[in-house]
Amino acid sequence: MNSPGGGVPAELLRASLCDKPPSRAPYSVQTGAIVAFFGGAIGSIVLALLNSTRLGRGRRDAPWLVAVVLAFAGVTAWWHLTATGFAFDDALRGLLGASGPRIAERALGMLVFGVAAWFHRREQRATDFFDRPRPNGLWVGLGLILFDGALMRGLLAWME
Amino acid sequence: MNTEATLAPDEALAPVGPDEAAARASFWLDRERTDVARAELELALRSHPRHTGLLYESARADYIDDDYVRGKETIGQLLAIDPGHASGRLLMFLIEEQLGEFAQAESLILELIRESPESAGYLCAYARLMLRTLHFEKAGALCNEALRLSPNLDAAMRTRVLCELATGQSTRDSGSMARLIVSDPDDWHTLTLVVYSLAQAGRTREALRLARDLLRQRPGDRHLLEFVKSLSRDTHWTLVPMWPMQRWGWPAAFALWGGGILVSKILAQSAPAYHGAFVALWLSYAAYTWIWPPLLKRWLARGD
Repeated sequence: MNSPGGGVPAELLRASLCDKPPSRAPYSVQTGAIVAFFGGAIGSIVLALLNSTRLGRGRRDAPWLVAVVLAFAGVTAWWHLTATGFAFDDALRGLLGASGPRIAERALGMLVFGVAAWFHRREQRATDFFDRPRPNGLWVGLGLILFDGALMRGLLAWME
Repeated sequence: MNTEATLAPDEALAPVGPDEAAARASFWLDRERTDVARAELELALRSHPRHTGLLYESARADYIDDDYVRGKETIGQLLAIDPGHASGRLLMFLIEEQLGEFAQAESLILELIRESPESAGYLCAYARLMLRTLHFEKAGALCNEALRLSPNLDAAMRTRVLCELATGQSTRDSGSMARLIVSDPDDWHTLTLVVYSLAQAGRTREALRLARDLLRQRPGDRHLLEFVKSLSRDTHWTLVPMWPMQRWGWPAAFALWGGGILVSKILAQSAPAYHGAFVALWLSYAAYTWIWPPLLKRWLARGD
């Protein structure tokens, strides 16, 4: 429905900023990459959730976040609980040495980071473009790296 | 009479009426000579402290000098005298936006749009606010409305280009940048957008050359100065090994990471003599890409 005069649609002249808190700048792409590389998928998922909350797009991001969590849970269960998963683990060690599984975990973390970075790409770019101050990612990044490591160790011990 | 040729700074201080003083101040502010404008305004405001034209130009000087708090106070005085002053309200909108008071800014611009629904300029201003607050679809829709009302308005086309640059879209696809350049190739605002477009496309040296030319035209532009400094850092000779990341961003970083692991594993099996050296080189490069750029930024900032 158009508003009288000018023909500008009424929904464009509805206030967007008055009834909810303004979006906050997300943690940087660099923080995400470091958490993914040194941490893993769990750290990346938590960071994606934090960014989604800061940007005020929790509801919009819920479907893909849930999909990522389920996919990660599925891959982890398959990898550590099934015969084909064990064979995959052995193949990784054969191809890349003893650190093969850890490299694959990091690759998984980077994949999660890539998915989150793609969904938040416009917000990340606009934040840099308008030079909005970002939150300091140092302590959150360190915390998530340690959290990821501790949680994965606990999870794997529980699976065994 | 050619006022541009004959109006010298010292002439600006001769006592004149408030309307002429405001016009003179506006002349100097259009050229970002806030020092001369302020001298003019200070003199005139002593005799006419409630003149809305003088108060408006005074707030405008504060806005140009990034003194938003003071500008807000001055505009507040103006709007207390004349609450319907449209230019004053638009300036208040711009100031609130800079102060991060986005909800207040939105209320102001919506009032102005409802009073003047045919104004593409107000729609562009609202689009920029929506862009800044990450409401991309609404910003794009407002741009489209502005262009529908005034298809040849440069401000509307510039806002369209800004939407594209801010969200990482290619400015080639929509043709807005091309239309802007054809419409007025020497326009300073258009050329600023060209600089950002080049920088975004990874053509940093070209962006720096153009940005330096623009800075020579407006040496007082602090935002442009900061951008030139940032581009100068990005083109520093010690960052030449970072070129793949500067050009292609994170996909290049992932490719280097993945490629490094692959080459390392191949060398470990086929040429173990070179494996250690390669791993040392690769790890050194990874450490350099993470540590050196922020250090360089701090080092160059200290030298400024």
